[in-house]
Amino acid sequence: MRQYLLAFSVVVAFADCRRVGKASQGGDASTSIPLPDGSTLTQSVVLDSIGQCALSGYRDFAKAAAELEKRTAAAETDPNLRPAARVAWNDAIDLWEKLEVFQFGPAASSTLAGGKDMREHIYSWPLGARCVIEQGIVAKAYDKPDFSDSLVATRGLWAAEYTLFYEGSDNGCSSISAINANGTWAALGTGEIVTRKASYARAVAKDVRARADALVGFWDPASGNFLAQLTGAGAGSTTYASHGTAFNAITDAMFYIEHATKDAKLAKPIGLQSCTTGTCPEAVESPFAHRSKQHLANNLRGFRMLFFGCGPTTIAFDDLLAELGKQDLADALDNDSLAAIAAVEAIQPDDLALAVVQSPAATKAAYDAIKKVTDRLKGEFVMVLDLELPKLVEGDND
Amino acid sequence: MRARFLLLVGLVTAARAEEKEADTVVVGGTRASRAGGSAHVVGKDQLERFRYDNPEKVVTQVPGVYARGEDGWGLRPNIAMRGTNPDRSKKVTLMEDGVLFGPAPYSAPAAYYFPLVGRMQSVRVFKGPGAIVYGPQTVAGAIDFITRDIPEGFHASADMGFGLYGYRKAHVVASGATDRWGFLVEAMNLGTSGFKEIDTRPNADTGFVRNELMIKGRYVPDPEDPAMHQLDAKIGYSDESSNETYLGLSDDDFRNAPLRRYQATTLDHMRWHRTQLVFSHRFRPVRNLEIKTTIYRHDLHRIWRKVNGFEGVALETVLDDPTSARNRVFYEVLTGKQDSFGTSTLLLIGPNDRTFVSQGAQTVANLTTKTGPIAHKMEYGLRLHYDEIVRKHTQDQFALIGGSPVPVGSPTQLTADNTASTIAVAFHAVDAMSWGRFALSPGLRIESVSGRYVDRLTQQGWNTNNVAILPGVGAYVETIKNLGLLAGIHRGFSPPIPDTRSARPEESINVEAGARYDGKLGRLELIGYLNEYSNITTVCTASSGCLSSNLDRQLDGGAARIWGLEAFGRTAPKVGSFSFPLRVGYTLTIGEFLSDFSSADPVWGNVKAGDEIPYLPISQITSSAGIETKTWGLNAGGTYVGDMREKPGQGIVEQRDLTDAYFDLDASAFFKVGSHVTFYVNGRNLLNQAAIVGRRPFGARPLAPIGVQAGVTLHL
Repeated sequence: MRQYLLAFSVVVAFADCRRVGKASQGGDASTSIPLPDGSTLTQSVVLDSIGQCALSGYRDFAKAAAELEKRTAAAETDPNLRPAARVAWNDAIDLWEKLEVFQFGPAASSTLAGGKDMREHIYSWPLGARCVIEQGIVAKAYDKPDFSDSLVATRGLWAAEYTLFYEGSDNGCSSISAINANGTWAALGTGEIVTRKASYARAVAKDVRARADALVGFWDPASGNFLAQLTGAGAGSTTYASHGTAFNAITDAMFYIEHATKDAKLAKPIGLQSCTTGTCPEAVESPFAHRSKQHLANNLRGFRMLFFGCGPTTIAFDDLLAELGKQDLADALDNDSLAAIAAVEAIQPDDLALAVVQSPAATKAAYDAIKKVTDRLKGEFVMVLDLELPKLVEGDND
Repeated sequence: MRARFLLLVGLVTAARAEEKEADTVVVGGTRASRAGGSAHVVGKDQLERFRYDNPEKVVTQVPGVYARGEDGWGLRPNIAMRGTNPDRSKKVTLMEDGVLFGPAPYSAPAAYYFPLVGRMQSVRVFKGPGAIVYGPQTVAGAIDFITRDIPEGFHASADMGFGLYGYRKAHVVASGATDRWGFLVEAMNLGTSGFKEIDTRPNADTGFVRNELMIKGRYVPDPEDPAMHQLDAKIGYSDESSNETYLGLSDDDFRNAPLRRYQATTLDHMRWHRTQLVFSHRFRPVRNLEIKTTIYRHDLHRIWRKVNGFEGVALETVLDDPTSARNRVFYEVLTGKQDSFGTSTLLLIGPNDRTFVSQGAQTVANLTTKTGPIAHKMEYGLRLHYDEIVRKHTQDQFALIGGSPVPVGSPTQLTADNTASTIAVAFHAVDAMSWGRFALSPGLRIESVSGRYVDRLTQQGWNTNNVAILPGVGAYVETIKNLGLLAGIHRGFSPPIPDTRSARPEESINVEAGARYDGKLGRLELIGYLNEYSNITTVCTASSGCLSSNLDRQLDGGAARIWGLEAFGRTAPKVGSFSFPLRVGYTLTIGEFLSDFSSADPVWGNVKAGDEIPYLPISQITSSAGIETKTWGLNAGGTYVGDMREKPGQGIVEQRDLTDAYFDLDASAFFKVGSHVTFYVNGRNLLNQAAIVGRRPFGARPLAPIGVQAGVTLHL
C-alpha cells in the first residue's frame, strides 16, 4: 500500500491560512483550516472540488457523445452527412482528451480502487486493433448483440476515428489473415466497405454514448454517487480508506502527461524514445483524423483543470501549494503549463505526423516545454506533498 | 560423559547418531558436534533416503529455511533463511566444499547456478551467528554443499534411474586412493522432458538436461611427515539446456490446468556451462595448528532466451487480472484468441547473455591451545576474492499469431550492456573458549568490498567502497547432562552491489537463544531469533519481475524486523534389527517492515510501516519417518508450507496476492540385494497437490506434480 500525503494532513493543519475557498463539505476536524470567509479548507473540500470538476467534465462529454451518436446514425444512411459526424467526433475527442488526465475512480482500470474500466471502453488508445475492426466489418460484428462486449481495442473513440476518417479501401491485416487469404475483404468492394465503416461507426458511437452515460451515472450523486466515495475518503468511503489513498489515485492520474502525453504521444514520434528510425511519425496518436497536436494541447488543458481547478475560484492543488507556502511552485507550474500549450499550438504543420519530419525544432521545443512541467511535478511537487511516483513514471530514465 | 559446553560466534551444533559425518564437520575452529549455535547437517543417510534432485527439498528439511518454488525442479532455487528475500537465493552465502559457488557472489549475488544436489554427500546449514565465519551474506546464514570425499581403496558405483515425465538419471563414480595419492571421477546426467504442456503442442519438451563432471585428485608427498602436507585438486564442468520460462499462468488458468504453458513460451530456453578449478594445500606446521589454503576459479556463461513482456504492458499486470478491459486485450493475444495488432501487443523476447568470473584465494588456520583452565579452539581466515559479471541483454519484437511468436523483423533492442566487478577482502577470527560447563566464543569478521560498474549504454561508470566490521559472540552452558542453553548475537551484513552508486549495505543486529538436547536419544532443539534490520535491501532481478530499466539496481527498504522460532527433533530408535528414523522440524516466522517506502522491486512495491514482509510462510513443518533394516527400508517425508503473502501488507490478503498452503508428501523405498545392488523407488508429491507456490516472475507457478522414479545402484 502506498503512503500518500502524510505530510499533507499535517502541513495543512498548521499552514498559514490565506486562501478564500468555497468549502461545501466538512472534513476532519483535525485538518480543517478556517478561511477568512468562514468556510474551511480541508482535504475533503479539495477532493470534492476535484470530483465536481470530473463530474462536470463527464457530463459535458456525455452530451458530446450523444451528439456523436446522432451524427453517425445520420451519416450511416446519408454519406453526405459524414463531415458532420466527423465534426461531432472532433468535439467529443477534444473533451475526452482533457479528461484523459482524470483517470481515477470509475474511469480508471478495474484493477484500481473504484475502477470500472470506463476510460478503456470510451477511448482505448494506444490499443487500436485496425485489423480486428476490419475483420468485424467483414463479419458485421457491429450488428451482433455482443458487440459491446468485444475487445475495447475494436470499440470506442479510436475505432470511431478509423471508421469515420480513413477513406482507403485497403486493410491492416496480414496476407495470411482470413479476410485476405479468403478474399472476403476484397469481395466487399469499395462501396460496401464505405457503407460498413459507416455502420461500424454508428455502432461504436452508440456504445460510447452508453459508456459516457454510465460514467456520469457512476459519479452522479443521484445514482452511483462516486463523488461521495471520493469526498468521504477516510470517513466512511468504501473505496478510499484514507485521504491519502484518494489523493494518490488523483496524482497518479495526473502523471498521464508524463508517460502518455510527453513520452508516448510526442517523444516516440519525434524519435526520442522507442524509435529506431530517427523519427516515427506512424506513432502519432491520431493517424486518421490528424488531431494529434490538438490532443497534446487538450491533455495539458486537462492537467490544468485538475491542478488549478475547473474554474477560476475552484479549489485544487494550486491552493494546496499556496497553503504550504509554495505559491512560487504553483506559479511556476501555471506559467510552464501555459507555455507548454503555446509550444504545442505553435507546431506547424498542424498534422503532427508531418510536423515531426518537417519541423523537428518546433516539435522538440514542445517536448521540452512539456518536460519542464513534468520535471517540476516529479521533483518539487512530489517532494512538497510527500507523494510517490506511480509505476509508469518510476521506470522512466529520461 | 564429558561436558559439552561450547560457545561461539555463529557456529554449529551437535552430533547425530546416524549421521556420523556431522561429527567431523569443523566450523569456526571447532567440531560441529561440540559447537554451540544454530547449525544443521543433512547427512548422507538422509540424502540417500529420498535421493532428491531438487535442492529446495533438501535444505527445507532444516528449520528456518524456506524456498519459493518456480520451475518445480529447483534448477535455480529461491532459498531463504530466517525471513530473507528468497529470490535466487541471493541473501544466503552459498558454498561448495567451503568455497563460494555463486556465479558472482559479490557483484551479482543471484545464484543462477546451483550444483546437482544428488552428487552431494552432505549439506550443512549454518544460521544466525554461525554465518560470520562464512560471509559475505551474514544476515541469514550459509549453506555448504559437501561433495564426495575420496575414500580409501578402490571403489566404483553407478546409479541409473527413470521416472515419469521422461525423468532419467545416470550417475557414476570411480575412485582410488592410497595413503599417498587418490583420485575420484564423478559424472552425472539428469534430465526430464518436463511436466508442463504447451498449448496446442502437448508433446513439446518443457524439461531440461543437466550434466556435471567432477574430477578430484589428492597427493600426500610424505605420509610419514608430521606436517602432513596434502595437495588437493578439484576440476569441474557443468552445463544445462532447459526449456524454462519466466511466464506462468493466470490464476483462473492455473486452477483449470496447473501444468499448462502458454504458446508464447515456445522459444524460451536457458543454456549455460560452467567450469570449476579448485586447488588446495593443507598442512600442520605444528601439532596444534592446521592451515588450509585454497585457490579457486569459476567461469560461467549463460544465455536465457525468454518472454520478457509486451511492448505495451508488463506480463504480470496482464496475468494479475486478465479480465479488466485493457488487460483482456493482451490476455487474448497471449492465449491465442487474438493475433497481435499494433505495436503495443507485440511480445518482447530476448536473451539475457551473462558471463561470470569468480576467483580467489583463501586461507583458514585452526589452532588449539590452552590458557590455564580455558581451552581454545581458534580459527582465523583470510579470503581475497574477485568476481565480475558482464551483461549483454537484447530483445526482439515478435507478433503472436495464433498464440505463437513470429518475429516481425524490427531491429534488435539492446537493453543492457554493462560490467560489474568486485574485489573483496574478508577476514574472520573466532576463539571458541571452553571452561567447565561454560563456553564463550567471540568472533569478528571484516569485509572490505570495492566495486566497479561500467555501463556501456549510458557511458557511465563508478566505483564503490564499503568496509564492514561484523562482531559477534555466542555462549553455551550445559545445564544438565546433554541439555544446554545457547545464545548469540552478531551483526548481519549483505554487501551492496556495484551497480548502484552510493548503495548502502544491508545491516542488522541478530540475536538468538534457545536450548538443545543432544544425546543418545537423538537431538531436540528449540531456538528463537530476532533480526533487527537498520536497512533491509534487495536487488532487482528479472526473476522477481522487475522492469528492465530497474534490473540489477539495489533497493533499500529501511528498518525491518524478523523474528521466529525454530524447533527440530531427530531420533532413530532401534528395536531388534529395525531402525525407526524420525525427523521433525517446525519454523515460525514473523516479519514486518518498520518504515514507509516505495520500491521498484515488485516483490516489495509500496510499503507502509507495519506491513508484513512477503514470501514468508508463518508456519512451515517438515518431517520424515521410516522403518529400516540393513537390507530394506521405507520412508515417508512431508513438508507443510503455509500460505505466503506475495506483496507487503497488513490484515486480510486478497487471494491473488497469496500463495497456496500445501502439503508435499514424498515417500521412498529401497531394497538391497547382496552387498552390491540396491533397488529404489521414490514417490514425489504423492497427494498431487496443485498449489500455487509463487507468482514470480510472471504468473502462477505450480508445485511439481505427482511423480514416481525408480532405479538401481551398483557398488563395487
